[in-house]
Amino acid sequence: MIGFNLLVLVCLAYVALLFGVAFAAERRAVRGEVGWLRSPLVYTLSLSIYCTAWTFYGAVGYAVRSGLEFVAIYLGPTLVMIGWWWVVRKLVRIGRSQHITSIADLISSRYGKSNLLAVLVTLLAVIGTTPYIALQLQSVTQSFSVFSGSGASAWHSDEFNVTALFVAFGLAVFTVLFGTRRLDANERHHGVVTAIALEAVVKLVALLAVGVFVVWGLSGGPADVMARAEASEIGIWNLNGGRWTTLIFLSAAAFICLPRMFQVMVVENTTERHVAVASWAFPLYLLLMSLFVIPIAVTGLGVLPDGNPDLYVLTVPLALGHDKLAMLAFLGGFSSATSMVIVAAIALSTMVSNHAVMPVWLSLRADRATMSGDIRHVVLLSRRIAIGGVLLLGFLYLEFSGGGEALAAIGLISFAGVAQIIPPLLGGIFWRGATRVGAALGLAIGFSVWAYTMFLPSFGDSFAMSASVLQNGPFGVSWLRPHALFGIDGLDPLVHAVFWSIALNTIAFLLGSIFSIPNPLERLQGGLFVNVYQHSRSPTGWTSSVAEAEDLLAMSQRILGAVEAQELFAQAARSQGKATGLPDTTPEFMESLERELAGSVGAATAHAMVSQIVGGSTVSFEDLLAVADETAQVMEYSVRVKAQSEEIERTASQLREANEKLTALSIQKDAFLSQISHELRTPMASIRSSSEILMTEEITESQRKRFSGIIQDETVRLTRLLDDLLDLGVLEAGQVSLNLQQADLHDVLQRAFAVTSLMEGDRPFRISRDNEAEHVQLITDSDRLAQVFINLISNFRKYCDAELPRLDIEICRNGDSLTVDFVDNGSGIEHGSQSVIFEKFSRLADKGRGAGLGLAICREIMKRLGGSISYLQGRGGAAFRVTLPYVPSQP
Amino acid sequence: MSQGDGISRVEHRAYRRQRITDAARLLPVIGFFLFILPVLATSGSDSVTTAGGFVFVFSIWGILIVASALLSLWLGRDDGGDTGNPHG
Repeated sequence: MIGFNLLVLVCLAYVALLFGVAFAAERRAVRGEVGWLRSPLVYTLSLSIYCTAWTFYGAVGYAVRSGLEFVAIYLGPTLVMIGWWWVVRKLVRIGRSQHITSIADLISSRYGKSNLLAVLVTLLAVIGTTPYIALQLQSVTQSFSVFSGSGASAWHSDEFNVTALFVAFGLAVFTVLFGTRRLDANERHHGVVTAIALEAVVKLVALLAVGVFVVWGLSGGPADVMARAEASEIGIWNLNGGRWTTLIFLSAAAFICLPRMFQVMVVENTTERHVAVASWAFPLYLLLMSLFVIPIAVTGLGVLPDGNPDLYVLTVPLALGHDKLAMLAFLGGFSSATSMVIVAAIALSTMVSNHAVMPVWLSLRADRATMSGDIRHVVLLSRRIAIGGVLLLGFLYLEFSGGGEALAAIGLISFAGVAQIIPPLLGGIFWRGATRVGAALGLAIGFSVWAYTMFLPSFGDSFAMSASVLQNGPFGVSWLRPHALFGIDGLDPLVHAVFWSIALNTIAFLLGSIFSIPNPLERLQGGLFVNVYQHSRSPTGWTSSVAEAEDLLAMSQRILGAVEAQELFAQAARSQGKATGLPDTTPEFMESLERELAGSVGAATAHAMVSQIVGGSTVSFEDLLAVADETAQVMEYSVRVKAQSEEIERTASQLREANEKLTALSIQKDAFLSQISHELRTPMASIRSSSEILMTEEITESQRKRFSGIIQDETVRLTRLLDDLLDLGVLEAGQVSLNLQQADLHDVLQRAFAVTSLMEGDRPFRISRDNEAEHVQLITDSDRLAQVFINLISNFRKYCDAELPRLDIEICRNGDSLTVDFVDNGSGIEHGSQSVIFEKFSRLADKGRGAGLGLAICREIMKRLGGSISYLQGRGGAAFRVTLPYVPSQP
Repeated sequence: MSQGDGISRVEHRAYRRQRITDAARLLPVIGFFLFILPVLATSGSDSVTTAGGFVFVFSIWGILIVASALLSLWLGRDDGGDTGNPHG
């Protein structure tokens, strides 16, 4: 017989081993060497927390009581896993893309981040899980009591309680140490998962060892066992079809909805490939776990007909003197209980802290500015307290319920409680029309019906419900009897409760969804969840923190500039105590980097960018909205800046032109002043000298005539100059009065040529005209028009430098305008001067003999006549175009 | 090999994969019906032995596991094999 002390010693050694494994796994994970830590095998084994002590010990007891029915508890999960393509794969994909941290988080995110739903699910989970934790504590304590030599019943309740308290405390310490070591964005716990995988191996090996011992050691092989089973009291399979089907459904639903299962199946999952392997490996594990249950039950009935069938796994080897095997079985049961409690506590503490503690804490502190580091500390603390609280609740439940048979039944009750999540969960991932109102209604109704028909009656007639309520319904209303709702009697209580709670839950969910209108965030989340395969990238493997840091550096360099980014990273690495290399992507570093990036690209964009790289996540709706806002602002701003700069550019070029013009004009003015001084001075000088000569006595008649002639000529020239100036002044001021009348263009040209032919002509020249075309009737001031023509023709005569000067006059009618081109065959006007020839006082440097007013006057006249005059480029010589408004005269 | 062969083979593989996915979806449904078969079988009589039920349930269970393993192997291989061995 193994001493109790040795048992405690072995137990402590085993716990120390678990601590060591968890610690080593954490260390490896921190260094980024995940390797086998994240293999399909470890994932599959971690799913085995489905097999708790209730199934490890209890399955045999169940088999003794109900034959093969126990196996239905394993068939549900088997169907879920082989049907992974339907649900589990989708949940895992959603979990990754939406950063889901718990089942409550999943429901809440799907229905527009509703905290009400999160709290509801959390409440359901806590109520459903606490008795289950109590059950685990009870089974560990009972197995201890078996080794104390006296059996469970004889153990003093004090010893029993102390053991349970020690176990609960030890589990709390382990869970706090490895479950809340740090705050991981992905909520993954490498140490815990690895330890659980080890425990899964231990419990499988233990059960198989006992099974092999029973089948081949005590009996003559499988055939013999079967024969003995036929002969035993469980030889006939009293199959209750309703219970069988309900159990398959219930275990399948609970397998998905149990917070601890969701934790290992979805939250701790790293890649969908692991699910593919687990789809057959986990059913295989379940098959092996249940393979020897019937043989052990049959043997137990033979060896210990009066023993507690729930402990046959332990007591059968012990009774036959196989202490080492019993010890292994004990460790198996211990593993089953502890792994379940640890993961359940982690999952519950995450939910409680995220959905209950943090919202309250934040709303209390809403008026005060909070540092984010502060919050992290609070989150960790609240989780640690929640873990302690959950285990304490479990312990207290065990204390007050008194343990025993009543507690054993709680397993299925707990399953039925969490199974209430299945309608909103499946509806949420397959039906876009599912709404928050529907989900909340369904959950509330399902939860109430479950509590009324199953949970409260489970305490017997001593607690919430009196015997009369159980018998006759509340206030004697018989159709409200907890075990026969609506008067439908005769159903098995389990079938009854599961049927009504799930059915009413589903109906409320469907009706609520159909008759309510979801808000935009709900619709968006609905689309993201239901069509997750279109919205998320294909699964990627685990990226090590080194790769993340490199990606972050590459991104930061683009935004901040290479030198600045490298300096920032080097600084972070130094502050983390690294002399060289890249910093770890710790939350502190991420935060500072995000702040740094936010300075350049805006907070939302920075957050989205960093979480894209680190989380491998899809960006949330709020992120997108914020990014869109920022982008819109930036775009608006840049459009404004662009418009402004274009405006400035335009103004600047106009100013430049104006400046050039002013400079040129200023130069012209100076030149004109000196010219006009000269022009005035030369005739004045000849007038003065002529008049001086005339004033002398001795002067002949002929001389007097000559000099007075000079005076006359010069005076005429001066007068003409002053006339021109006055004329221009009048034209420019717009004070000229036009004498508009009908005129023939030919006549006007004729007049101009007549006038210019009087000018002293030093050279012969040719004129080419088109008499036909010239006969055009115009409404114009013919004197002014003639003045323009005279000016152009006389310019030609003065300045045309060709050997044989020739002037072409071309007339062209063009719609409502008429152009008259004067083109000569000289060298023309050089490009630089073309822009100033129409300005006042403009004179071409080497050729100037006039005052430079002629063309300016022409321009003003044409403006008054409603036409224009311009210089034509590329016509050989100098070419001017006079454009006149033309209205065809009435016939 | 002509290009047409390549395309038709890609099409063929995509089609095959689609049908394997269908099979993977169908498997749990088949499993469920097989598991509740005893309910239908025993509704008339009340003498099914535990041993007989044990053999039946565990046989179905084993077959489902093997089928699921084959299907997930196929699906997994096609996942990784898109850019790999053309003869896969």
